[in-house]
Amino acid sequence: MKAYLGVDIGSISTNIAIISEDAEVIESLYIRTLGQPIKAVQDGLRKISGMLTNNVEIIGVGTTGSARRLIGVMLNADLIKNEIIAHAVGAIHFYPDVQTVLEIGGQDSKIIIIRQGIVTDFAMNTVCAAGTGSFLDHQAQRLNIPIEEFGDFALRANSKVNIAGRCTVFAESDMIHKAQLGVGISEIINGLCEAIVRNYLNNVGKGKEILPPVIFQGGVAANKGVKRAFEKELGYEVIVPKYYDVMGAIGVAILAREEVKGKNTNFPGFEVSDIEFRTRSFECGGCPNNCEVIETLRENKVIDRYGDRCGKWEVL
Amino acid sequence: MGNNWVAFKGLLETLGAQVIVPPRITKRTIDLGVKYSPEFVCFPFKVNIGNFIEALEAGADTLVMVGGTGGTCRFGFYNIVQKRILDDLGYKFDMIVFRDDNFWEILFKKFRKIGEDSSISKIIKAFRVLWWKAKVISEIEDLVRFNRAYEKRIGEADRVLEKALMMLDEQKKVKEIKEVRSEIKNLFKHIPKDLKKKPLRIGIIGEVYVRSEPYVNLDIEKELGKMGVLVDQKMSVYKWLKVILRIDLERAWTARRARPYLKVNAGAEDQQSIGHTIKYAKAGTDGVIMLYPFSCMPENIARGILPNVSRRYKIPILTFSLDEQTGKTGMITRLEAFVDLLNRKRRR
Repeated sequence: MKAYLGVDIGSISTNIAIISEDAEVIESLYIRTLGQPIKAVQDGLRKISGMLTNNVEIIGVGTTGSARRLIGVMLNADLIKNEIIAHAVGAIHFYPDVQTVLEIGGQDSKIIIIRQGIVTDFAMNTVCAAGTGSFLDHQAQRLNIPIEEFGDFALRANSKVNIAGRCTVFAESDMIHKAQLGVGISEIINGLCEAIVRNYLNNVGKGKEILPPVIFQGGVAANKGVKRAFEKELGYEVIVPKYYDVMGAIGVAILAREEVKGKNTNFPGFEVSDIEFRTRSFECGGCPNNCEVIETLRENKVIDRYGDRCGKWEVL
Repeated sequence: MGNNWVAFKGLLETLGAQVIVPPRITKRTIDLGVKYSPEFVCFPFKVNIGNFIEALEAGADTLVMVGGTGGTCRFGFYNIVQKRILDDLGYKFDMIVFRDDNFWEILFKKFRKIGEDSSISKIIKAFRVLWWKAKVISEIEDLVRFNRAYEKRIGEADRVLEKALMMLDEQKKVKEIKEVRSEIKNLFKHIPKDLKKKPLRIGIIGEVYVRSEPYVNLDIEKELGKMGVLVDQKMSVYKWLKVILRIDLERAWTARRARPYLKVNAGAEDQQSIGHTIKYAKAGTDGVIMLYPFSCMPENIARGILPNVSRRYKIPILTFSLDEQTGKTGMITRLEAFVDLLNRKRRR
């Protein structure tokens, strides 16, 4: 069976999807990046190839997410695409009439406005990460609650508690103060979910026309508390798709399918997991800019270099 | 400010001063600026401090600063606070502040004392050099924008840019500047271009400093050029000179367009940002990108208004608030998606 591989490497999670020629999801995988994108992708590919039947042949590869370039070079990807378009394509695939995509990931959040199947507007959080996955993660850890159960706690809240959502610093101190006053943990978590939604709609969603169907995806979509808060605030039903956490990977796999039409893939195969890749960086020192140049090596051979302002290191 | 040092250097050299151009902005400049500036001040202030320190280290004894008329935004106080900071650091220097209301006074009173010759004709000559160099720079910048969008080999236009600036910098007389001007135009003409392309057109609006300094805006114009976008910008020192001479009608006109949305000018380019967006929309430009320093009050006002303008005139707007960060990935992601969006919109 012929299939396409999509890899979305974010700050918190690495998502892999394998889709068939008719864009059916064959397998998908959500693992933690743990600050080591190369290792995460290699582990992930090893794992997912074990889940596949033998006759699956990868004929196209796409990468997206903040490490898309690094992993794109490593996998010899046919297509490297930004995550905004990848997420939109994923959402449109499952819900062709979607008009709004809310996406909250590990370190960024975005809103994508779609009309008649075309992205017409988008916004991404600019200066701060308040209300994104990593902050929720941090709070879950602090409260010693598994992140998977965070949303259930929120749903159990009986009363409303206000948590400052403008900035994670304020939010955390507010949560601590409310806890010391004796407010229940469910109420505090619910307050946090509502604060995140308020922050999102006031910053990322500011001035955007949010129309249904509204799709909520990205890692945070697993949090039922945030979903409910969105529904309360927007007054629409908010749909969390089945593959909410790997939509970017699915989207980029679909884009890769378009890209390789009539061409052969450059993907070397799953053996790429066993090849040694590493990165190293050095300060150029050629001028006072001291650009940090990052090199990607494949078995000690430099295959990519970037980070310099003047371009002198770009040529290998 | 970007390439405009060539023009100011021309002015001061003609006056008879020995000009020390601060080294180009580098990481060191930023580090120095951040270290000695108030934490909450807008980013251009910090870069200025870094520039000044590096110029003083190189032996400068007079600093020339462009100042606001005061009373609008923080920019009006830049020179006052900067002078204090540098005084406190123990530097000995004079600071000349160019404002739009004291331009002639400075030119005819203060600058006359520079050098041995103090005739009026010297001043007129110096002003003409400034005028012409600024004019050529603004032409060069437009040519670079045009060529980046059409060039067959990426990077060609930027190589010519470096060369053109050097050529312009070497000229001392207006006559020579005019000659070199046509030579420069020729250089650009010879860049192999694919004129059949129909590049996307994007207008850049926002605060002037971050718009004109590539180090601070992470080379946004060049990045857009690489994506094959034709960039337009309506700001240059040449324009600013026209404002001083009160022969720039466009500026007043642009502010007028903005008036239904913002009645008064609160500083920076707030009204201009709004007015230009309307103008771009009417001219059929594909999109607008707004750049402003993080925490810039007037541009934040404009930013709050722009979604309405965007909806009313159906023109997509992407905004970047810029500060010390140098990580480019986030910006590239947004630019790519924006360009994708505009391309798809056009195809429809």
